[in-house]
Amino acid sequence: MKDDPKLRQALQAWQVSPSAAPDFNNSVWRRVAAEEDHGFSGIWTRLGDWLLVQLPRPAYASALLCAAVAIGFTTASLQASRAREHYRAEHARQYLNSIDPLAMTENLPR
Amino acid sequence: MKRFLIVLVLAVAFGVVSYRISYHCAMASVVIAPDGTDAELGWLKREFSLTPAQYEKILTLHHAYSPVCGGHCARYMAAREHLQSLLKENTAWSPEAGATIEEIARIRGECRQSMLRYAYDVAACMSPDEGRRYLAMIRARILAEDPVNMMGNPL
Repeated sequence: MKDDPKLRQALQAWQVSPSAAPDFNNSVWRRVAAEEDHGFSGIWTRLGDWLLVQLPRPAYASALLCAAVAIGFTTASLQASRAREHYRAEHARQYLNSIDPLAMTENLPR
Repeated sequence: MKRFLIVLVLAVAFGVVSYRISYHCAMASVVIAPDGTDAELGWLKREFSLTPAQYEKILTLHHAYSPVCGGHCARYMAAREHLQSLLKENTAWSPEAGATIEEIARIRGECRQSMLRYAYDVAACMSPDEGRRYLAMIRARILAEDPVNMMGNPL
Protein backbone atom coordinates (compact mmCIF):
# COMPACT_ATOMS: atom_id res chain seq x y z
CA MET A 1 0.00 0.00 0.00
CA LYS A 2 2.89 2.21 0.73
CA ASP A 3 4.24 1.74 -2.73
CA ASP A 4 0.93 2.31 -4.41
CA PRO A 5 1.67 4.94 -7.10
CA LYS A 6 -1.97 5.95 -7.40
CA LEU A 7 -2.27 6.57 -3.76
CA ARG A 8 0.98 8.52 -3.72
CA GLN A 9 -0.19 10.66 -6.61
CA ALA A 10 -3.50 11.27 -4.93
CA LEU A 11 -1.80 12.30 -1.71
CA GLN A 12 0.52 14.66 -3.55
CA ALA A 13 -2.33 16.31 -5.32
CA TRP A 14 -4.42 16.61 -2.18
CA GLN A 15 -4.66 20.12 -0.81
CA VAL A 16 -6.54 21.18 2.23
CA SER A 17 -7.88 24.73 2.24
CA PRO A 18 -10.09 25.09 5.28
CA SER A 19 -12.18 28.20 5.51
CA ALA A 20 -11.70 30.46 8.53
CA ALA A 21 -14.23 30.33 11.29
CA PRO A 22 -16.87 33.00 10.78
CA ASP A 23 -15.82 35.02 13.89
CA PHE A 24 -12.07 34.41 13.55
CA ASN A 25 -10.95 38.02 12.84
CA ASN A 26 -13.16 39.51 15.49
CA SER A 27 -12.01 37.06 18.12
CA VAL A 28 -8.35 37.82 17.34
CA TRP A 29 -8.92 41.54 17.70
CA ARG A 30 -10.85 40.98 20.90
CA ARG A 31 -7.93 39.04 22.37
CA VAL A 32 -5.46 41.75 21.29
CA ALA A 33 -7.60 44.42 22.93
CA ALA A 34 -7.98 42.34 26.09
CA GLU A 35 -4.19 41.87 26.30
CA GLU A 36 -3.67 45.61 25.92
CA ASP A 37 -6.21 46.30 28.66
CA HIS A 38 -4.48 43.93 31.03
CA GLY A 39 -0.91 44.95 30.05
CA PHE A 40 -0.37 47.26 33.02
CA SER A 41 -1.67 44.85 35.60
CA GLY A 42 0.30 42.13 33.84
CA ILE A 43 3.52 43.99 34.50
CA TRP A 44 2.68 44.21 38.18
CA THR A 45 1.80 40.55 38.28
CA ARG A 46 5.11 39.63 36.68
CA LEU A 47 6.99 41.99 38.99
CA GLY A 48 5.26 40.52 42.02
CA ASP A 49 6.12 37.03 40.88
CA TRP A 50 9.75 38.05 40.34
CA LEU A 51 9.98 39.64 43.78
CA LEU A 52 8.48 36.66 45.54
CA VAL A 53 10.22 33.94 43.57
CA GLN A 54 13.47 35.28 42.12
CA LEU A 55 14.56 37.93 44.61
CA PRO A 56 14.95 35.60 47.61
CA ARG A 57 17.46 33.55 45.62
CA PRO A 58 21.02 34.00 46.90
CA ALA A 59 22.37 35.81 43.83
CA TYR A 60 19.67 38.49 43.77
CA ALA A 61 19.39 38.72 47.57
CA SER A 62 23.12 39.34 48.01
CA ALA A 63 23.05 41.94 45.21
CA LEU A 64 20.18 43.70 46.98
CA LEU A 65 22.06 43.72 50.29
CA CYS A 66 25.18 45.13 48.59
CA ALA A 67 23.04 47.84 46.97
CA ALA A 68 21.46 48.69 50.35
CA VAL A 69 24.91 49.05 51.94
CA ALA A 70 26.15 51.19 49.03
CA ILE A 71 23.09 53.45 49.23
CA GLY A 72 23.54 53.77 53.01
CA PHE A 73 27.21 54.74 52.69
CA THR A 74 26.61 57.18 49.86
CA THR A 75 23.69 58.92 51.56
CA ALA A 76 25.63 59.18 54.83
CA SER A 77 28.70 60.57 53.08
CA LEU A 78 26.68 63.26 51.32
CA GLN A 79 24.81 64.26 54.45
CA ALA A 80 27.97 64.25 56.58
CA SER A 81 29.74 66.40 54.03
CA ARG A 82 26.94 68.97 54.16
CA ALA A 83 26.81 68.84 57.97
CA ARG A 84 30.60 69.27 58.24
CA GLU A 85 30.48 72.33 56.00
CA HIS A 86 27.62 73.75 58.06
CA TYR A 87 29.46 73.26 61.35
CA ARG A 88 32.66 74.67 59.87
CA ALA A 89 30.91 77.86 58.79
CA GLU A 90 29.07 78.09 62.10
CA HIS A 91 32.25 77.71 64.17
CA ALA A 92 34.05 80.26 62.00
CA ARG A 93 31.19 82.69 62.53
CA GLN A 94 31.23 82.06 66.30
CA TYR A 95 34.98 82.59 66.48
CA LEU A 96 34.82 85.82 64.48
CA ASN A 97 31.96 87.06 66.65
CA SER A 98 33.98 86.28 69.75
CA ILE A 99 36.86 88.54 68.66
CA ASP A 100 34.78 91.27 67.06
CA PRO A 101 33.47 93.82 69.60
CA LEU A 102 31.04 95.23 67.06
CA ALA A 103 29.56 91.79 66.37
CA MET A 104 29.27 91.25 70.12
CA THR A 105 26.99 94.27 70.38
CA GLU A 106 24.74 92.73 67.72
CA ASN A 107 24.38 89.57 69.80
CA LEU A 108 23.53 91.32 73.05
CA PRO A 109 19.86 91.68 74.06
CA ARG A 110 18.60 95.22 73.69
CA MET B 1 6.55 35.39 50.70
CA LYS B 2 8.35 34.74 53.98
CA ARG B 3 11.77 34.62 52.31
CA PHE B 4 11.01 37.81 50.40
CA LEU B 5 10.14 39.59 53.66
CA ILE B 6 13.32 38.33 55.32
CA VAL B 7 15.43 39.65 52.42
CA LEU B 8 13.59 42.96 52.52
CA VAL B 9 14.09 43.38 56.27
CA LEU B 10 17.74 42.44 55.95
CA ALA B 11 18.26 44.96 53.14
CA VAL B 12 16.69 47.77 55.18
CA ALA B 13 18.75 46.78 58.23
CA PHE B 14 21.99 46.67 56.21
CA GLY B 15 21.22 50.07 54.70
CA VAL B 16 20.45 51.69 58.07
CA VAL B 17 23.49 50.19 59.79
CA SER B 18 25.86 51.19 56.98
CA TYR B 19 24.36 54.71 57.03
CA ARG B 20 24.85 55.06 60.79
CA ILE B 21 28.41 53.74 60.74
CA SER B 22 29.43 55.86 57.77
CA TYR B 23 27.85 59.04 59.19
CA HIS B 24 29.42 58.46 62.60
CA CYS B 25 32.89 57.94 61.10
CA ALA B 26 32.57 60.99 58.82
CA MET B 27 31.41 63.24 61.68
CA ALA B 28 33.93 61.95 64.23
CA SER B 29 36.26 64.90 63.60
CA VAL B 30 33.49 67.46 64.01
CA VAL B 31 33.04 68.55 67.59
CA ILE B 32 29.60 69.97 68.15
CA ALA B 33 30.51 72.17 71.06
CA PRO B 34 28.29 74.64 72.85
CA ASP B 35 29.00 78.33 72.49
CA GLY B 36 32.03 79.42 74.44
CA THR B 37 35.53 80.73 74.01
CA ASP B 38 37.32 77.42 74.32
CA ALA B 39 34.93 75.71 71.89
CA GLU B 40 35.66 78.41 69.30
CA LEU B 41 39.37 78.05 69.87
CA GLY B 42 38.97 74.30 69.49
CA TRP B 43 37.62 74.99 66.02
CA LEU B 44 40.56 77.35 65.35
CA LYS B 45 42.98 74.61 66.37
CA ARG B 46 41.48 72.10 63.95
CA GLU B 47 40.85 74.53 61.11
CA PHE B 48 44.38 75.94 61.09
CA SER B 49 46.17 72.73 62.14
CA LEU B 50 47.73 74.30 65.22
CA THR B 51 50.42 72.46 67.15
CA PRO B 52 49.96 72.27 70.93
CA ALA B 53 52.61 74.98 71.38
CA GLN B 54 50.94 77.28 68.84
CA TYR B 55 47.58 76.63 70.45
CA GLU B 56 48.90 77.54 73.90
CA LYS B 57 50.29 80.84 72.61
CA ILE B 58 47.03 81.68 70.85
CA LEU B 59 45.03 80.71 73.92
CA THR B 60 47.09 83.17 75.99
CA LEU B 61 46.61 85.90 73.39
CA HIS B 62 42.90 85.18 73.22
CA HIS B 63 42.43 85.31 76.99
CA ALA B 64 44.36 88.58 77.13
CA TYR B 65 42.33 90.06 74.29
CA SER B 66 38.89 89.00 75.56
CA PRO B 67 38.60 91.70 78.30
CA VAL B 68 39.81 94.35 75.84
CA CYS B 69 37.21 93.20 73.34
CA GLY B 70 34.54 93.18 76.04
CA GLY B 71 35.53 96.71 77.07
CA HIS B 72 35.18 97.99 73.52
CA CYS B 73 31.85 96.25 73.25
CA ALA B 74 30.56 97.90 76.46
CA ARG B 75 31.74 101.37 75.38
CA TYR B 76 30.23 100.96 71.94
CA MET B 77 26.91 99.84 73.37
CA ALA B 78 26.83 102.72 75.84
CA ALA B 79 27.59 105.28 73.14
CA ARG B 80 24.94 103.85 70.85
CA GLU B 81 22.31 103.85 73.56
CA HIS B 82 23.24 107.42 74.43
CA LEU B 83 22.80 108.44 70.80
CA GLN B 84 19.47 106.63 70.61
CA SER B 85 18.15 108.45 73.66
CA LEU B 86 19.40 111.78 72.28
CA LEU B 87 17.71 111.18 68.95
CA LYS B 88 14.47 110.28 70.69
CA GLU B 89 14.52 113.37 72.91
CA ASN B 90 15.83 115.97 70.50
CA THR B 91 13.73 117.62 67.86
CA ALA B 92 16.64 119.66 66.50
CA TRP B 93 20.35 119.24 65.92
CA SER B 94 22.44 119.23 69.09
CA PRO B 95 26.22 119.39 69.44
CA GLU B 96 25.96 116.54 71.94
CA ALA B 97 24.47 114.25 69.29
CA GLY B 98 27.29 115.21 66.94
CA ALA B 99 29.86 114.46 69.62
CA THR B 100 28.22 111.09 70.33
CA ILE B 101 28.30 110.17 66.64
CA GLU B 102 31.99 111.04 66.55
CA GLU B 103 32.52 109.00 69.71
CA ILE B 104 30.81 105.97 68.11
CA ALA B 105 32.97 106.30 65.01
CA ARG B 106 36.08 106.59 67.19
CA ILE B 107 35.15 103.47 69.20
CA ARG B 108 34.49 101.57 65.97
CA GLY B 109 37.96 102.52 64.77
CA GLU B 110 39.52 101.43 68.04
CA CYS B 111 37.60 98.12 67.85
CA ARG B 112 38.93 97.46 64.39
CA GLN B 113 42.47 98.41 65.35
CA SER B 114 42.55 96.17 68.42
CA MET B 115 40.94 93.30 66.50
CA LEU B 116 43.50 93.63 63.72
CA ARG B 117 46.37 93.79 66.21
CA TYR B 118 45.07 90.63 67.85
CA ALA B 119 44.65 88.94 64.45
CA TYR B 120 48.22 89.77 63.38
CA ASP B 121 49.52 88.44 66.70
CA VAL B 122 47.52 85.22 66.27
CA ALA B 123 48.62 84.82 62.64
CA ALA B 124 52.25 85.23 63.74
CA CYS B 125 51.83 82.18 65.98
CA MET B 126 50.71 80.02 63.03
CA SER B 127 52.69 78.52 60.18
CA PRO B 128 53.14 81.06 57.34
CA ASP B 129 50.53 79.45 55.06
CA GLU B 130 47.93 79.03 57.79
CA GLY B 131 48.66 82.55 59.03
CA ARG B 132 47.94 83.94 55.57
CA ARG B 133 44.71 81.96 55.39
CA TYR B 134 43.70 83.18 58.84
CA LEU B 135 44.38 86.81 57.93
CA ALA B 136 42.38 86.39 54.72
CA MET B 137 39.41 85.31 56.85
CA ILE B 138 39.82 88.33 59.15
CA ARG B 139 40.26 90.67 56.18
CA ALA B 140 37.09 89.33 54.57
CA ARG B 141 35.22 89.91 57.81
CA ILE B 142 36.41 93.50 58.15
CA LEU B 143 35.97 94.40 54.51
CA ALA B 144 32.48 92.91 54.51
CA GLU B 145 31.41 95.88 56.65
CA ASP B 146 32.63 98.30 54.03
CA PRO B 147 29.57 99.45 52.02
CA VAL B 148 31.57 98.87 48.83
CA ASN B 149 31.82 95.18 49.74
CA MET B 150 28.37 94.64 51.21
CA MET B 151 27.78 91.85 48.72
CA GLY B 152 30.89 89.97 49.75
CA ASN B 153 31.08 86.81 51.83
CA PRO B 154 31.06 87.66 55.55
CA LEU B 155 33.60 84.91 56.10
